[in-house]
Amino acid sequence: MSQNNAPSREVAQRAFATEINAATHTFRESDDDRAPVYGLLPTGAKANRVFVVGTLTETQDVGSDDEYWQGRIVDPTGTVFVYAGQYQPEAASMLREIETPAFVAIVGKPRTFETDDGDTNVSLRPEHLITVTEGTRHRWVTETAQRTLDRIEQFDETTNEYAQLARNQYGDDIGPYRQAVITALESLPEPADATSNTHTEDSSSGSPTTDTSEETDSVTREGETQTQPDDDLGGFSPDEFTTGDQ
Amino acid sequence: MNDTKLHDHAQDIHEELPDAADVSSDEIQQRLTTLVDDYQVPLEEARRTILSTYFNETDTDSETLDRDNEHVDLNTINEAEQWVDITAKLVDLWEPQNDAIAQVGLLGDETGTIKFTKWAKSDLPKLTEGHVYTLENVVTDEYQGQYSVKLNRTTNIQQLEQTIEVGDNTTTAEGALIDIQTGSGLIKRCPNPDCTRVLQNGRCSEHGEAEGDFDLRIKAVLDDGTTVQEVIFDQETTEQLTGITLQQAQQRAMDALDTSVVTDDIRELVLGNYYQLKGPILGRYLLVNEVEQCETMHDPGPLLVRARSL
Repeated sequence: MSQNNAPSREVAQRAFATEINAATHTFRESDDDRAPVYGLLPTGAKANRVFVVGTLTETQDVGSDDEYWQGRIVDPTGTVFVYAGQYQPEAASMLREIETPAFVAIVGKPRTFETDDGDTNVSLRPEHLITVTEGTRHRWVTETAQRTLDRIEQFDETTNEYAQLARNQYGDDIGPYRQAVITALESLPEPADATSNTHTEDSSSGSPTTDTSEETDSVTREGETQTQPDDDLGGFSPDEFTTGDQ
Repeated sequence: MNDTKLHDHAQDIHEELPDAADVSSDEIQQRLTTLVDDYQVPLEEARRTILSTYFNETDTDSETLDRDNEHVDLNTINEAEQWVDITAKLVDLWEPQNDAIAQVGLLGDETGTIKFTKWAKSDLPKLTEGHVYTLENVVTDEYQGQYSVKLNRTTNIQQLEQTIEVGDNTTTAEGALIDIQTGSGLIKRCPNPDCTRVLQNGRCSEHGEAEGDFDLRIKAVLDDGTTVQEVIFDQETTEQLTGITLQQAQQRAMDALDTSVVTDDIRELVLGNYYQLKGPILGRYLLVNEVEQCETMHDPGPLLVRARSL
C-alpha cells in the first residue's frame, strides 16, 4: 500500500536495431519536468530504457573540445549508435579503450536528434556498456525475437494504447519488424543443444492470427530472400569474431 | 431507521458481548434507537459506542473478543497491523534475544514461511517444533519489507493433529543483470551483536562510530524485458557469482586503498549477463540462494515458426 511513493524502475525493452532506429517519436506521460521521456517503438511499446547486445564494430571520438565517443553496435538487423561523453564516464572510457570488434551489452536510454537534413535519428545514451560473451549475444537475439513477437501479436488488441499510438505515428505496417525477427533468428548458428535451455517458453501456441495474416505473410515471404540487413553489415557474420576478453 | 433492522443489529451486538455484560438484547436496542434515531449517530459509530460501554462496565478488553478474522495463507500477508487467523507448522525456534520475548521462530504453511514472535507477558502456552497449530487473533507486522506475525494475550492457540508440507516461497527470476545499485561490493557491517546494519562512512545509524566487519554483497537489477526484479546476493552467492572471495576483495581494496575497486570488478564481471536466480522474495528484493548463468540461447526453431505464422 505504501509502495507507490517511489517511482518504479522502468523496464529495459528488447528491440532489434531496425526497430530502435525507427522509434523516432518521443513523448512524456506527465507535465512534470522530471517525467521520463519515452521512445515509441513501432510495434507498440514505450521505451524509456533498452537493453541491446551486439557487436561493437567501430569507436570514434567525435567531440570537439571534450571527448565525446561514438560507438557502432551491430545486431543481425542493423546498426545502432551509442554516444557517451563526460556524463557517462564509464561508458566513455570503455569506448576509448575497447578493442573492436567485441561483443558488448548496452543498457541505455533512447534519444532522438535531428540531422541537418531534417531527419530524426535515434541513438542510445548508455548507462552501462560492457563486454559480454558470444553466448550472451546469441541469447539476447532469441530473447529479443520473443519480446518483439509478443508485441507484434498484441499489436491489434484494441486495449493496447501504445499500439494505437504507434499506428498513429508510424502507420500500421509492422511487417518489417516481423521480418527483422526472422532475419535475426536465421542468422544464428544451429543450436548445439537446444534442450539445455534452462527456460523454454511456450512459443508455438496461442499466437493470435489476424485476418490479414495471410496477406502480409505472402508479401513478406517474397521479401524474405531479398531483405539484407543494413549495408554497413555486408557479409558480417558474428562467428568470425572472437569474443571479448572476459 | 426501521425497528426490525435495529433489532437485528442489537442482536448482533448482544452476541458479540461476553456473558459477563449481563444485558438484554432489548436494552441494547433501546440504546441503539436513542443513538441512531434521536441523536443521528451513524449506525457503525453507535455500535462501537455501545460495545465499548458494556466492555468498560464489565472490564473486559474488547480485544478479547472473538473477532471475525480472515483465515489467511502465509504468503498473502503483505500488510502490517492486520488481525488474522493462520494455520501453520512451527518450523524452527530461534534463541530469543530479549527477555520480553517468550518464543521466536519460523512458522510455515503450504504457501511459505513467516517469522513469529510470542511475547513473555502474553502468557501463552509453549509451542513445540514440528507441531501444527491454528493461531487465531495474531497481528501482522512489517520491518524493512519483511512481514511477521505477533502472538498476543488474546491469541487462541490450538494444536492440530494434521501435518503440513511447508512450501518454500522460492521464486525463480530470469533475465539480464542490467544494473548494480549503490551499497554493493565490499561493505562494513556494525559489529554489535544483533545489529547487522551497514556502516555509512564508518558509522552505524544505531550504534555510532564502529570499526565494522567486512562483508560482500551485491544489490542488483534483473530485467527480462517485461519485468524488473531487484535482487540481493549475500557473501556466499556473491562469491559464487563473481569468483571473488571476501578475502580477495579485502586484499584488492587494501592494495588500492579504496573499496570501490571491488565494485568495479564486480560490475565488469556480471553486468550484461543472463542469470537464473532462485530465492525467497522479501519486500522489494529476491534474496538469491541459487545462481546459474544462462549462456544458451533459446531454440530459434519454434520462434521462427511463430514469426512465420503471423
